[in-house]
Amino acid sequence: MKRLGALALLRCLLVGAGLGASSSAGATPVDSLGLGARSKALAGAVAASGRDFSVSYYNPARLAFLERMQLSFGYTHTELGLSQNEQPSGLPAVRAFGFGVVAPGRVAGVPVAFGLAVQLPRGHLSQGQSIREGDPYWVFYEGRLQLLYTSLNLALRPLPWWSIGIGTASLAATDGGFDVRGTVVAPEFERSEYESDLEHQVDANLISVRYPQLAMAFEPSARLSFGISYREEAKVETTVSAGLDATIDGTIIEVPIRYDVMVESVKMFIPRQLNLAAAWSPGAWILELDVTWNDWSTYESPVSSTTTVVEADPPEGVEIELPESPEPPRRAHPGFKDRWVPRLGAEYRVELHTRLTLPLRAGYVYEASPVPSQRGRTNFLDADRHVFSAGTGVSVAGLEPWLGGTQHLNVAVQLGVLEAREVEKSEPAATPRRITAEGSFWALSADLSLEL
Amino acid sequence: MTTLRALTCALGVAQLLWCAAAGASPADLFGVGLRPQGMAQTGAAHGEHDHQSYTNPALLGGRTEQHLSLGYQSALFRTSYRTDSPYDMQQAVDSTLLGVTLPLPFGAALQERVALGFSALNPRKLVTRAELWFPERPQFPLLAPRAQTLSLTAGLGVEVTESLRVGLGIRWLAGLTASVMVSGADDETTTVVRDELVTSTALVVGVQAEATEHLRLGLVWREAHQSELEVAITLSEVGALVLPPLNVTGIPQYDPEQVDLELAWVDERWQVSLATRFRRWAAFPGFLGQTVVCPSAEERCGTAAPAAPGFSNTWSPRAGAAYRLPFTPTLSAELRAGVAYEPSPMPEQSQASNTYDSARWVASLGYGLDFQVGDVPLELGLALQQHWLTARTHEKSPEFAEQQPKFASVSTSGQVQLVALSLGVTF
Repeated sequence: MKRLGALALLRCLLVGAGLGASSSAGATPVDSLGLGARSKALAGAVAASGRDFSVSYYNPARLAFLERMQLSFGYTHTELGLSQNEQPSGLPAVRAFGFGVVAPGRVAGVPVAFGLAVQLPRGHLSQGQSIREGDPYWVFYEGRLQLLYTSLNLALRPLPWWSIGIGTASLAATDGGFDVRGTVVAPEFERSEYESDLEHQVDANLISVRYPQLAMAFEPSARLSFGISYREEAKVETTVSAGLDATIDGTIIEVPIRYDVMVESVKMFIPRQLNLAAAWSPGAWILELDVTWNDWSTYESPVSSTTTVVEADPPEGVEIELPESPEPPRRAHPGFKDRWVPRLGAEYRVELHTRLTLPLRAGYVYEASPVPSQRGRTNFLDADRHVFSAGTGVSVAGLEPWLGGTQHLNVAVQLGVLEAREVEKSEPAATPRRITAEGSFWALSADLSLEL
Repeated sequence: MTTLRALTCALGVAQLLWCAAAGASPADLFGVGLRPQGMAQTGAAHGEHDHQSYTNPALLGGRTEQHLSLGYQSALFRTSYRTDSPYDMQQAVDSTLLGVTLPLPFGAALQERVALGFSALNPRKLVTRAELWFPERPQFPLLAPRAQTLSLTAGLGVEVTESLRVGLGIRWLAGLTASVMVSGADDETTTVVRDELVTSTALVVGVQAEATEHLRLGLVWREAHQSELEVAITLSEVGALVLPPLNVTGIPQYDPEQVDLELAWVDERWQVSLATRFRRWAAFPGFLGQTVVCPSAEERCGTAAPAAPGFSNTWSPRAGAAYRLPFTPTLSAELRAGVAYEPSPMPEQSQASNTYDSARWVASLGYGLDFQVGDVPLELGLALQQHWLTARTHEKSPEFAEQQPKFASVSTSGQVQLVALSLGVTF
C-alpha cells in the first residue's frame, strides 16, 4: 500500500499547519532597534533624561516629569544586510509606524501621567516562520522585528525630584487547532484530487500574556538625573493540534485513516531586563550613560516539539505499512548567556532663534551576543554588534494660541555592524560543518511630536 | 501609596489592550461602558466620559476633563437545547475594561472642543477566539463565542457648535493569515509555515445634536467588522500523496454594519432615551469557508461551498432611563435602567446545520456614584443585564430529519447574565 506510505508526508503537512510551529521567539522589535527618533539617535540612552512618548518603553517613571500633553506620530524603516555562510539571509526590511500619547495631570495635587507607546509593523501585527532544529535562525532579527509593540503606563511624582512608574506590555500567539474530515480522492484512473470532498472546523485562540515594567526616575538637581527600570520576563508557550479524519478513495479500495499531530513550542520570549541610567545636563548639553542587564540565560529553545498518532483501518487482507509515531525529541537548552549592554548618548541644542532650536544628537551601543557558539545541531545565528546613531530635528515654540507648547520634528539614522563570527561544528551529524554569521543594518526614523 | 496601588491595578486591568487589536462583538452584545450597559445600550444621544468612542464618538466633543476608568465584567451564558432529552451548556466570559478620555488642549477656535477617547474590553488571557465547529454540532455561535474577543475602539469628537457635535471612531479586530507549503524530493520532505497576525478595522461615525434645551438626538453608523482566519495549505512533489490545496478559513468574529438612532430627553435629574439599532445581518457570509476551492477549469469539484447562513436584517428597539440624586456638591448618585429587544438574525435550522440562536429580551439596571476622596474626584459604577432567550423550535425538513433523526425537532432556550463594575478618576 504505497499510497499510505506517504502518510509521513501528511505528517509534515499537518505539522506545518500547526501554526504553533511558527516562531517569533525573542521579541520585541523595540528591544532590538529602539523606539522614537530622538531616543534612537541617542542609542536608547534616555532612561534618565527622556522627554517624549518613548519613555513609556525606556522608563515610564519619566512620564510624571513631563508637563504637557504630547501626541507623537512616526515612521521607521530598517534595512537588514545579514548573511550566513556567505549567503544573504533574505530577511525582509522592517517598516513600522509609531504612535505615542503622554497625558499628564494631577490627582490630589500629585503630578500623574498616562503614557501609551505603539509600534505597528506595516501591514500586519506579527509575522513568523517555522523553524526546525538545524535551520539557520537569526534569533534577534527573524520574526522578532515584525511584531507589534505596545506599552501602557502610569506614573506619579510624589516628590518634586522623584517619580515612579508602572506599566504593562504584552505578547500574543496562536493556540488551538483544527480538524479536516471527508474523502481524499487519489488522482488515478482519470480522477482528480479536486474531487476530494473535505471540510474543516477550527477551535483556536489568539492568546496573550502580559509582562509588567516598573521604574523610578530621580532629578536631584537641574543638571543631574537618574533612572532605573525593570521589565519582567515573558514567554508564550503554545500547543497547536491538527487532525485529519478521512477516507482515502483509491477507486479500487478505500482506507479510513485518522491522523493527529500536536506541536508544542515556546512561541515568544522576552528576557528579564534591568536598566540603570545617569544623565548630566550642563548648559545646552545632555550626556547620558545607560547600562542594561538582560537575563538571556533563561531563554528556551524556539524549536518546536511534535507528537503524532496515526491509525488506519484497511480492508481485510490488505497490509499497509504505517509510519511510526516517534517520541517527540527533547528540546536542548540553547545555553544563552546573560549580557550587559552599555549605551551612550549625547545631545547638543543649538538655539537658532528664541522660538527655534536645532538639536544635534549622537549615540553608541555595544551588544555582546548572548548566543553561544553553535557547535551542535542548532544554528542560532547572532554576533556581537556595534550600533552607531545620529540625529537632528527642529523644535519650534511660540505657536500660541493654537498650540501651547514646543513642537518637535526628529529624525535619526542608525548603523549597526555585526562582527564576523565563524564556528566549526563538533557534533558529528550537524550540518553544515562550518557556519559563519556577519552583516550590518541601517535604519532611518522620523517622528513628529505635538505638545499641547 | 493608595494611588500607586490604584495605578498598579489600573495597568493590570489594562493588560494587553494594544497587543493585537480588536473590535467588536462583546461590545455589540452588552455595550461598552457602565452607563450604556445599565441603560440597555442607550447613550448615543447623551452620555458621559470615556466609553463614547464606541457608543457615539461625537459625545467626546467638548469634554474638558481627563478621565480614566477601569473595570471588570463577567458574563454567564446558559443555553440549552432539547431533543429527546435536554442538554445544557454553560460558559462564563470575564473581561477587563479600560476607558480613557483625553481632551486636546488646543487654543483659539478649537479650545475645549476636541477630545480623544479610547475604550477597551479585554477577555482574560485572550485576544480573540475562533470557535468554528462542524455545522451539525449543536452550538450557539452568536452568544459566548462572540463575547470572547478584545474590543478596542479609539475615537475623536469635535464640538462644532454648542448644539452640534460630530465624531469619528475606529475599531480593531485581530485576524490570522498563514500559508503552509509542503514540498518533497528524494524522500525528503520540508514544510515551511509563514503566519501573520493582521488587523481589520472598521469606522464609527457619530453625530449628536441638541434640538432644544432638553431634547438630544444621536445618530451613529458602525461599519461591518469581521475577523478572518485564513490558512492556505499546499503540497508539491510529495510523492504518492496528492491533496488539493486546502483552505482552512472562517470568520470567527463578526459584527454587522449597524445604525443607532436615539432620541433623549434630558434635564438636571432625568434622562430618558428611546432608541433603535439596525443590524445588517443579511450580509453575513457564513462562519466557515470552503475547504477545497477548485480552479475554474476543473469540471469535477468534490467539495461544495458551505451552505449560506441565510441571516436576516434586524431592528432592535431599546429604552433607557437615568435619574440623578445630588446629595452634596461633591456627592451624587445615579440610578439607571433599561429594556431592549434583540431579534435573532438566524433562520430556523431546517437543514443540516444545528447552529442555534433566539431573540432576546434584555433588562438592565445600573448605579453610578460620583464622590471625592480628599481632592480626588472618583466615580463608581455598577451594571447588571439579564437576557432571556425566547423559546424556539427548529424542525428539520424530511430529508435532513432522516439524516439526523436526533435533531429532527429541537427546542432551544437560555439566559445570559452580565455583571460589570468600574472605578473612574478625573485627573
